[in-house]
Amino acid sequence: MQRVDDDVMPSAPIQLLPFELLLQMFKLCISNDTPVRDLISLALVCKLWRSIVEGTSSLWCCISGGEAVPHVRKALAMAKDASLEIIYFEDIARTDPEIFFGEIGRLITQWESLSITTGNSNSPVTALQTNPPPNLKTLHLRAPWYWEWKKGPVTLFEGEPAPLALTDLWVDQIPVVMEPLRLSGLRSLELNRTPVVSAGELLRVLRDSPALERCGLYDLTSLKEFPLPGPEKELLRFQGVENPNIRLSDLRTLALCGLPVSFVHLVLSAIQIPNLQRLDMDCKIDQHGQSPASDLFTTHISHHSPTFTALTDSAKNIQIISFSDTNWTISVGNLIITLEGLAFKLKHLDEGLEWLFSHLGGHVDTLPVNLSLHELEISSKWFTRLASALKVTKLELWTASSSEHEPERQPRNIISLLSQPLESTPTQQWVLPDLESLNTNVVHEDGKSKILDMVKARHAFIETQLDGTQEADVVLKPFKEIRLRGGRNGISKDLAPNTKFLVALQKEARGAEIWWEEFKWTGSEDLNAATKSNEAGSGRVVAG
Amino acid sequence: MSAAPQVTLESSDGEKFKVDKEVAERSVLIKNMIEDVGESDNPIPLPNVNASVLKKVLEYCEHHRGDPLPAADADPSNDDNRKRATEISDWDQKFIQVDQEMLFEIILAANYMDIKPLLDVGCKTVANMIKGKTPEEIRKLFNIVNDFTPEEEAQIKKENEWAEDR
Repeated sequence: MQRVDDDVMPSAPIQLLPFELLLQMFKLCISNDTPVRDLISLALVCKLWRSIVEGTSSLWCCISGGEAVPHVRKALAMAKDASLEIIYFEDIARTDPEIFFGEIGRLITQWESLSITTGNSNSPVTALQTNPPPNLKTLHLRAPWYWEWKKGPVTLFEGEPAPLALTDLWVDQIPVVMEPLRLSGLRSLELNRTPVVSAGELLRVLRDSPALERCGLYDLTSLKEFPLPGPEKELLRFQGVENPNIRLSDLRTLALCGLPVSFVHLVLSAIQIPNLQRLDMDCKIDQHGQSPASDLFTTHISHHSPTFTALTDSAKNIQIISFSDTNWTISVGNLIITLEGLAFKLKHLDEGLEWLFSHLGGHVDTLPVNLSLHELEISSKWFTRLASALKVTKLELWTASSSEHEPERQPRNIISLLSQPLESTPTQQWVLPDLESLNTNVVHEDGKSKILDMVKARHAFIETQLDGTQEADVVLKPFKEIRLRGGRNGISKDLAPNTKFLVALQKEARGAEIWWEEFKWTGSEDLNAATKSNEAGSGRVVAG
Repeated sequence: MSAAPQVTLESSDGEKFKVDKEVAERSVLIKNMIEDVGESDNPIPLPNVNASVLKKVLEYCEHHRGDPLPAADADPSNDDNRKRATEISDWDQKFIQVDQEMLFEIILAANYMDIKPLLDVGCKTVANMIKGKTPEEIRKLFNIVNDFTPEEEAQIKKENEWAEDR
């Protein structure tokens, strides 16, 4: 290989950067999977880079099970006394867990961060069934969703408390028994699916972690519904926590999802979270007699009203999404509430909306609503009542019927409801008068003709409003956008576009944008051919 | 309504830039200078930054004028998730699409003027350029001279030959 003499070659601009900037860039170059391999590549570039890489022990502190044993040994040797960030993801591991943890076990005092993903082997977790690493700050234990954890509950650190240094704990789908850990002083806590923990223990952890910044509790099956025994203090004493006044001033994000509603209520009753920036919470109605009003939105959580209102300040709209008759999610800015459960009834959605509108300030009343409905069994009467309470500007209707011969359920009836004024009103009143955008895959069988009829009827009425021949309680808005998808569930493309239909729709929609799948329809071109020729492309315009 | 307070910055080649104080104070260096010296009509000299680079830096500061200021001790390379640590927003990506000479000038200016978010964007951009490349490709990309002797190079490769085995 021919070399260029230093005298001839001008200095490369990157070589003029100060050492600390090159070091910062090198740190960003190192992957979690193959850190040693990446560092060796950098060291082979030139003498300067080699001196930086080999002279900086902190660059070698990431020890990954994704590398072979010699890499692990090299990293441990180069890291010297630096704190170690240990990563063992079983599905990409190249080193047997026993060998890997055998290598790093002798440096247990240097463990600062440990992240394990495992499912079909107990070995990585076994490494934690010894004395606790005294300086461990971060512990992530996770079983991937595709590996069902078949072993029993796991007790860490021989039943000893977690290291005092531990501030970040994430346990996902591994049934770790939490109580012996006596957690405190956490900054980040996320427990998902199977950790074995009681309500009282979780409240104690919150009480003893005043600097907590992130908290996510999801689907903790060891928590059971408990009855509300009365006054709040009794309730908390019942759970073994005497002082309910838990102030979490640093808490920025909180998620309480898939948990018994009595537990969600208990936590919200006990904590103060003045600086919260995002809240996801579920209101699970699993038992008859429960309801959002009596079990969650009680006076015991009214002290959160200023916080909840602040979470909605930046909201541009309200999103209401239903994935089934018994699962509704309402999002207003950074406040996300899901109402669901085995005993869920549509009246519970009414309760949730009523609480929202009466407790979050007047600005929420005026927000436009995006309503997204996925294959529902709801009555026309109920839908009409829901529609009258909301200023819906955007409507999504999705059907998940598995074949073209299987009829959709409710969505098509909703299209019909939008097609004519309500019969019960003396003056002309329409369902969803503010509707400007429709997005749907209800275009099978007579779906297309129903959409066409609906658009035609509404726009014809708008014209009568404009020329003064009709009076209405509420002015009907014209469509600005109609998006159509042929595929069931919005995924497959099992229905070819119909040019004749799109031409007719464009004519009736009078200026609204018409989209078929990812194509904006602007004329009479054969869209079927266009979709085929542009299958691999993105967001294209089909010109006439 | 009174106009926003402004300050004048002077580049190393003598060009003056009048900008809103709020924009200039994205630079911790300038913010501290203003605090130390107090309000003044005299231009603030930036002897390490030429006009073309300063113009670019001020474009960045103007776009991000309302952003929350980063914590003093925040370090992107210590992020829990390194993948996220090298993500760059769309606007920043377009902004930093410059030739290499300008890229490194911006990084040096951001370092000197103490504009941490801009420094992060520059470092992430260079890191993304390096990632996944062989030593030879990195040398070629940045015009770096291979100053190893053939013997040294062979020795390093020999020491790490197990690293070639994926």
